[in-house]
Amino acid sequence: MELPPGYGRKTATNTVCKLKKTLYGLKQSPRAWFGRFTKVMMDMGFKQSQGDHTLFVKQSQSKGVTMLLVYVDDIIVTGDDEEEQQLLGQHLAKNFEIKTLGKLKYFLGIEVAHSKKGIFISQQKYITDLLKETGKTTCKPANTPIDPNLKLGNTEEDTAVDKEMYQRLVGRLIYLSHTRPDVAFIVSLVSQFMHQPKEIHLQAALRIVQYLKGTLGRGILFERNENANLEAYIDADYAGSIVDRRSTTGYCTFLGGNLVTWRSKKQKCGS
Amino acid sequence: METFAPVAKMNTVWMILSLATNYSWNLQQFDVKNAFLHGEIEEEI
Repeated sequence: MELPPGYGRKTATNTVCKLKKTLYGLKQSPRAWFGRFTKVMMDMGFKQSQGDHTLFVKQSQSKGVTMLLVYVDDIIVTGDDEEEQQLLGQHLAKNFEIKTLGKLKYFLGIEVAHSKKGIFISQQKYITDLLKETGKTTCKPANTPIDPNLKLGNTEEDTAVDKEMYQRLVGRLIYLSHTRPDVAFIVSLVSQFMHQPKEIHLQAALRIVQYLKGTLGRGILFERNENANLEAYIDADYAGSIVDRRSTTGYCTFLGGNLVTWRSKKQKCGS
Repeated sequence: METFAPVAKMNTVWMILSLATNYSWNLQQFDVKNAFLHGEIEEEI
Protein backbone atom coordinates (compact mmCIF):
# COMPACT_ATOMS: atom_id res chain seq x y z
CA MET A 1 0.00 0.00 0.00
CA GLU A 2 1.20 3.53 -0.75
CA LEU A 3 0.88 6.64 1.37
CA PRO A 4 -1.86 9.00 0.32
CA PRO A 5 -0.71 12.13 -1.54
CA GLY A 6 0.50 14.89 0.75
CA TYR A 7 2.06 12.59 3.30
CA GLY A 8 4.84 11.13 1.24
CA ARG A 9 7.33 13.94 0.82
CA LYS A 10 7.78 15.32 4.31
CA THR A 11 8.11 12.05 6.14
CA ALA A 12 11.24 9.97 6.09
CA THR A 13 11.35 6.93 3.85
CA ASN A 14 11.43 4.49 6.75
CA THR A 15 8.11 5.44 8.28
CA VAL A 16 5.02 3.30 8.24
CA CYS A 17 1.38 4.21 8.68
CA LYS A 18 -0.88 2.59 11.20
CA LEU A 19 -4.34 2.11 9.87
CA LYS A 20 -7.02 2.74 12.46
CA LYS A 21 -10.03 2.24 10.27
CA THR A 22 -10.67 0.01 7.33
CA LEU A 23 -10.33 1.12 3.73
CA TYR A 24 -11.78 -0.14 0.47
CA GLY A 25 -9.61 -2.84 -1.03
CA LEU A 26 -8.54 -4.38 2.25
CA LYS A 27 -9.56 -7.97 2.57
CA GLN A 28 -10.48 -7.33 6.21
CA SER A 29 -12.91 -4.55 5.34
CA PRO A 30 -16.11 -6.51 4.65
CA ARG A 31 -15.79 -8.44 7.89
CA ALA A 32 -14.90 -5.37 9.95
CA TRP A 33 -17.88 -3.50 8.52
CA PHE A 34 -20.24 -6.38 9.14
CA GLY A 35 -18.95 -6.82 12.71
CA ARG A 36 -19.60 -3.18 13.46
CA PHE A 37 -23.04 -3.33 11.85
CA THR A 38 -23.98 -6.46 13.81
CA LYS A 39 -23.04 -4.75 17.06
CA VAL A 40 -25.20 -1.73 16.27
CA MET A 41 -28.15 -4.04 15.52
CA MET A 42 -27.64 -6.03 18.74
CA ASP A 43 -27.52 -2.78 20.74
CA MET A 44 -30.95 -2.00 19.37
CA GLY A 45 -32.28 -5.31 20.66
CA PHE A 46 -32.35 -7.17 17.35
CA LYS A 47 -31.60 -10.89 17.17
CA GLN A 48 -29.37 -12.24 14.44
CA SER A 49 -30.95 -15.09 12.49
CA GLN A 50 -29.11 -18.39 12.76
CA GLY A 51 -30.25 -19.46 9.31
CA ASP A 52 -28.92 -16.35 7.60
CA HIS A 53 -26.58 -14.07 9.54
CA THR A 54 -27.50 -11.07 7.43
CA LEU A 55 -31.08 -11.13 8.75
CA PHE A 56 -31.93 -9.31 12.00
CA VAL A 57 -35.31 -9.61 13.68
CA LYS A 58 -36.89 -7.76 16.59
CA GLN A 59 -40.18 -8.88 18.01
CA SER A 60 -42.19 -7.11 20.65
CA GLN A 61 -45.31 -8.86 21.90
CA SER A 62 -47.44 -5.76 22.01
CA LYS A 63 -46.50 -4.05 18.76
CA GLY A 64 -45.16 -6.40 16.19
CA VAL A 65 -42.11 -7.44 14.28
CA THR A 66 -39.31 -5.61 12.47
CA MET A 67 -36.95 -7.33 10.05
CA LEU A 68 -33.75 -6.02 8.56
CA LEU A 69 -31.73 -7.66 5.83
CA VAL A 70 -28.30 -6.38 4.82
CA TYR A 71 -26.50 -7.09 1.56
CA VAL A 72 -23.05 -5.50 1.91
CA ASP A 73 -24.22 -1.87 1.95
CA ASP A 74 -27.80 -2.38 0.82
CA ILE A 75 -30.44 -2.65 3.53
CA ILE A 76 -34.08 -3.75 3.39
CA VAL A 77 -36.39 -3.09 6.34
CA THR A 78 -39.91 -4.43 6.75
CA GLY A 79 -42.44 -5.30 9.44
CA ASP A 80 -45.60 -4.03 11.08
CA ASP A 81 -44.07 -1.93 13.86
CA GLU A 82 -43.77 1.53 12.33
CA GLU A 83 -42.54 3.14 15.50
CA GLU A 84 -39.67 0.67 15.73
CA GLN A 85 -38.84 1.21 12.06
CA GLN A 86 -38.56 4.94 12.66
CA LEU A 87 -36.29 4.40 15.64
CA LEU A 88 -34.20 1.97 13.61
CA GLY A 89 -33.78 4.49 10.81
CA GLN A 90 -32.67 7.15 13.27
CA HIS A 91 -30.31 4.78 15.05
CA LEU A 92 -28.68 3.71 11.79
CA ALA A 93 -28.31 7.32 10.66
CA LYS A 94 -26.58 8.13 13.95
CA ASN A 95 -24.03 5.35 13.51
CA PHE A 96 -23.41 5.36 9.78
CA GLU A 97 -23.91 7.60 6.79
CA ILE A 98 -27.29 6.39 5.63
CA LYS A 99 -29.20 7.30 2.54
CA THR A 100 -32.94 6.60 2.72
CA LEU A 101 -34.09 5.33 -0.64
CA GLY A 102 -37.76 4.89 0.26
CA LYS A 103 -39.84 2.08 -1.15
CA LEU A 104 -37.88 -0.94 -2.36
CA LYS A 105 -37.45 -0.65 -6.14
CA TYR A 106 -34.13 -2.09 -7.19
CA PHE A 107 -32.04 -4.60 -5.28
CA LEU A 108 -28.96 -6.45 -6.53
CA GLY A 109 -29.82 -5.81 -10.13
CA ILE A 110 -33.33 -7.12 -9.58
CA GLU A 111 -36.27 -4.87 -10.39
CA VAL A 112 -39.06 -4.70 -7.83
CA ALA A 113 -42.45 -3.38 -8.98
CA HIS A 114 -45.38 -2.72 -6.66
CA SER A 115 -48.99 -3.02 -7.76
CA LYS A 116 -52.43 -3.76 -6.33
CA LYS A 117 -51.83 -7.45 -6.94
CA GLY A 118 -48.60 -7.49 -4.97
CA ILE A 119 -44.88 -7.33 -5.68
CA PHE A 120 -43.37 -8.36 -8.98
CA ILE A 121 -39.66 -9.04 -9.38
CA SER A 122 -37.85 -9.34 -12.69
CA GLN A 123 -34.48 -8.83 -14.36
CA GLN A 124 -35.57 -7.17 -17.58
CA LYS A 125 -32.66 -4.78 -17.79
CA TYR A 126 -30.24 -7.61 -17.10
CA ILE A 127 -31.72 -9.64 -19.98
CA THR A 128 -31.62 -6.64 -22.33
CA ASP A 129 -27.91 -6.21 -21.54
CA LEU A 130 -27.32 -9.93 -22.05
CA LEU A 131 -29.02 -9.79 -25.47
CA LYS A 132 -26.77 -6.89 -26.48
CA GLU A 133 -23.65 -8.66 -25.26
CA THR A 134 -24.44 -11.84 -27.14
CA GLY A 135 -25.54 -10.02 -30.29
CA LYS A 136 -29.01 -11.54 -29.99
CA THR A 137 -30.99 -8.28 -29.74
CA THR A 138 -32.65 -8.82 -33.09
CA CYS A 139 -32.78 -12.62 -33.04
CA LYS A 140 -35.90 -14.70 -33.51
CA PRO A 141 -37.28 -15.61 -30.09
CA ALA A 142 -37.49 -19.29 -29.16
CA ASN A 143 -40.67 -20.68 -27.60
CA THR A 144 -38.91 -23.05 -25.24
CA PRO A 145 -35.57 -22.78 -23.41
CA ILE A 146 -34.39 -26.15 -24.76
CA ASP A 147 -35.16 -28.44 -27.65
CA PRO A 148 -37.10 -31.21 -25.87
CA ASN A 149 -35.37 -33.92 -27.89
CA LEU A 150 -31.88 -32.65 -27.18
CA LYS A 151 -29.70 -34.68 -24.84
CA LEU A 152 -26.43 -32.99 -23.93
CA GLY A 153 -23.34 -35.07 -23.36
CA ASN A 154 -19.60 -34.91 -23.95
CA THR A 155 -19.23 -35.19 -27.69
CA GLU A 156 -15.54 -35.75 -28.42
CA GLU A 157 -15.75 -35.08 -32.15
CA ASP A 158 -17.57 -31.75 -31.73
CA THR A 159 -15.62 -28.47 -32.09
CA ALA A 160 -14.38 -26.90 -28.87
CA VAL A 161 -15.49 -23.31 -28.20
CA ASP A 162 -13.88 -20.42 -26.32
CA LYS A 163 -14.02 -21.60 -22.71
CA GLU A 164 -13.85 -18.18 -21.07
CA MET A 165 -16.64 -16.83 -23.25
CA TYR A 166 -18.79 -19.87 -22.48
CA GLN A 167 -18.17 -19.64 -18.76
CA ARG A 168 -19.02 -15.93 -18.74
CA LEU A 169 -22.25 -16.56 -20.62
CA VAL A 170 -23.31 -19.41 -18.34
CA GLY A 171 -22.34 -17.31 -15.31
CA ARG A 172 -24.71 -14.59 -16.48
CA LEU A 173 -27.45 -17.16 -17.00
CA ILE A 174 -26.91 -18.51 -13.47
CA TYR A 175 -27.37 -15.02 -12.04
CA LEU A 176 -30.55 -14.70 -14.05
CA SER A 177 -32.07 -17.79 -12.53
CA HIS A 178 -32.69 -15.63 -9.39
CA THR A 179 -35.99 -14.57 -10.92
CA ARG A 180 -36.44 -17.23 -13.60
CA PRO A 181 -37.26 -20.73 -12.31
CA ASP A 182 -38.32 -21.63 -15.86
CA VAL A 183 -34.68 -21.76 -16.95
CA ALA A 184 -33.31 -23.40 -13.77
CA PHE A 185 -33.12 -26.88 -15.30
CA ILE A 186 -31.47 -25.93 -18.58
CA VAL A 187 -29.03 -23.49 -16.93
CA SER A 188 -27.98 -26.24 -14.53
CA LEU A 189 -27.53 -28.53 -17.54
CA VAL A 190 -25.32 -26.19 -19.59
CA SER A 191 -23.26 -25.42 -16.48
CA GLN A 192 -22.21 -29.08 -16.36
CA PHE A 193 -19.98 -28.53 -19.39
CA MET A 194 -18.00 -25.52 -18.16
CA HIS A 195 -14.68 -27.42 -18.15
CA GLN A 196 -14.78 -28.43 -21.83
CA PRO A 197 -17.53 -26.63 -23.71
CA LYS A 198 -18.30 -27.73 -27.27
CA GLU A 199 -20.32 -26.15 -30.06
CA ILE A 200 -23.46 -28.10 -29.08
CA HIS A 201 -23.29 -26.73 -25.52
CA LEU A 202 -22.81 -23.16 -26.71
CA GLN A 203 -25.76 -23.53 -29.07
CA ALA A 204 -27.89 -24.76 -26.15
CA ALA A 205 -26.78 -21.81 -24.00
CA LEU A 206 -27.56 -19.36 -26.82
CA ARG A 207 -30.96 -21.01 -27.26
CA ILE A 208 -31.71 -20.00 -23.66
CA VAL A 209 -30.84 -16.40 -24.56
CA GLN A 210 -33.22 -16.62 -27.54
CA TYR A 211 -35.94 -17.94 -25.26
CA LEU A 212 -35.30 -15.08 -22.83
CA LYS A 213 -35.74 -12.60 -25.65
CA GLY A 214 -39.34 -13.73 -26.09
CA THR A 215 -40.02 -13.77 -22.36
CA LEU A 216 -38.21 -10.60 -21.23
CA GLY A 217 -40.91 -9.44 -18.83
CA ARG A 218 -41.33 -12.68 -16.93
CA GLY A 219 -40.51 -12.82 -13.25
CA ILE A 220 -42.07 -13.79 -9.95
CA LEU A 221 -45.22 -12.31 -8.50
CA PHE A 222 -45.64 -12.19 -4.75
CA GLU A 223 -49.35 -12.01 -3.95
CA ARG A 224 -51.35 -11.17 -0.90
CA ASN A 225 -52.82 -14.48 0.22
CA GLU A 226 -52.95 -13.58 3.90
CA ASN A 227 -51.30 -16.71 5.20
CA ALA A 228 -47.83 -18.01 5.92
CA ASN A 229 -48.30 -21.65 4.96
CA LEU A 230 -45.28 -23.59 3.79
CA GLU A 231 -45.58 -25.97 0.85
CA ALA A 232 -42.84 -27.92 -0.89
CA TYR A 233 -42.78 -29.93 -4.11
CA ILE A 234 -40.02 -32.19 -5.32
CA ASP A 235 -39.42 -34.55 -8.22
CA ALA A 236 -36.58 -36.13 -10.14
CA ASP A 237 -36.00 -37.53 -13.60
CA TYR A 238 -34.78 -41.11 -13.96
CA ALA A 239 -31.09 -41.31 -14.88
CA GLY A 240 -31.48 -38.28 -17.13
CA SER A 241 -27.80 -37.65 -17.72
CA ILE A 242 -26.34 -39.40 -20.77
CA VAL A 243 -22.86 -38.70 -19.38
CA ASP A 244 -23.07 -40.73 -16.17
CA ARG A 245 -26.73 -41.80 -15.84
CA ARG A 246 -27.19 -39.68 -12.75
CA SER A 247 -30.63 -38.17 -12.08
CA THR A 248 -31.58 -34.51 -11.68
CA THR A 249 -33.72 -33.34 -8.77
CA GLY A 250 -35.96 -30.33 -8.93
CA TYR A 251 -37.73 -28.67 -6.04
CA CYS A 252 -39.67 -25.56 -5.20
CA THR A 253 -41.11 -24.24 -1.96
CA PHE A 254 -43.90 -21.76 -1.43
CA LEU A 255 -44.35 -19.52 1.59
CA GLY A 256 -47.77 -17.95 1.94
CA GLY A 257 -48.57 -19.07 -1.61
CA ASN A 258 -45.50 -17.36 -3.03
CA LEU A 259 -42.50 -19.08 -4.57
CA VAL A 260 -39.48 -18.48 -2.33
CA THR A 261 -36.94 -21.19 -3.16
CA TRP A 262 -36.34 -23.51 -6.07
CA ARG A 263 -33.48 -25.45 -7.54
CA SER A 264 -32.59 -27.92 -10.25
CA LYS A 265 -29.58 -30.02 -9.34
CA LYS A 266 -27.94 -33.15 -10.62
CA GLN A 267 -27.76 -35.76 -7.88
CA LYS A 268 -24.42 -36.55 -6.30
CA CYS A 269 -24.42 -40.28 -6.86
CA GLY A 270 -25.82 -42.62 -9.46
CA SER A 271 -28.71 -44.85 -8.41
CA MET B 1 -7.78 -14.73 9.10
CA GLU B 2 -11.40 -15.13 8.21
CA THR B 3 -12.73 -13.42 5.17
CA PHE B 4 -16.44 -13.04 5.27
CA ALA B 5 -18.78 -11.27 2.94
CA PRO B 6 -21.97 -9.93 4.48
CA VAL B 7 -24.08 -11.31 1.67
CA ALA B 8 -27.73 -12.21 2.13
CA LYS B 9 -29.10 -15.42 0.66
CA MET B 10 -31.63 -14.90 -2.10
CA ASN B 11 -34.01 -17.29 -0.33
CA THR B 12 -34.12 -14.90 2.61
CA VAL B 13 -34.87 -11.97 0.33
CA TRP B 14 -37.80 -13.82 -1.27
CA MET B 15 -39.05 -14.93 2.15
CA ILE B 16 -39.11 -11.31 3.28
CA LEU B 17 -40.92 -10.21 0.12
CA SER B 18 -43.51 -12.96 0.59
CA LEU B 19 -44.17 -12.01 4.22
CA ALA B 20 -44.28 -8.31 3.40
CA THR B 21 -46.87 -8.86 0.65
CA ASN B 22 -48.97 -11.29 2.67
CA TYR B 23 -49.17 -9.01 5.66
CA SER B 24 -49.14 -5.71 3.73
CA TRP B 25 -45.96 -4.52 5.44
CA ASN B 26 -44.12 -1.62 3.91
CA LEU B 27 -40.71 -2.34 2.42
CA GLN B 28 -38.07 0.29 2.90
CA GLN B 29 -34.65 0.46 1.40
CA PHE B 30 -31.52 2.10 2.80
CA ASP B 31 -28.07 2.48 1.40
CA VAL B 32 -24.95 2.86 3.53
CA LYS B 33 -22.44 5.30 2.12
CA ASN B 34 -18.80 4.23 2.29
CA ALA B 35 -19.72 1.10 4.21
CA PHE B 36 -16.19 -0.26 4.28
CA LEU B 37 -14.82 2.89 5.92
CA HIS B 38 -16.97 2.26 8.99
CA GLY B 39 -15.13 -0.80 10.24
CA GLU B 40 -12.67 -0.63 13.12
CA ILE B 41 -9.49 -2.53 12.49
CA GLU B 42 -8.25 -4.97 15.11
CA GLU B 43 -4.92 -6.07 13.73
CA GLU B 44 -1.89 -4.45 12.14
CA ILE B 45 -1.87 -4.43 8.37
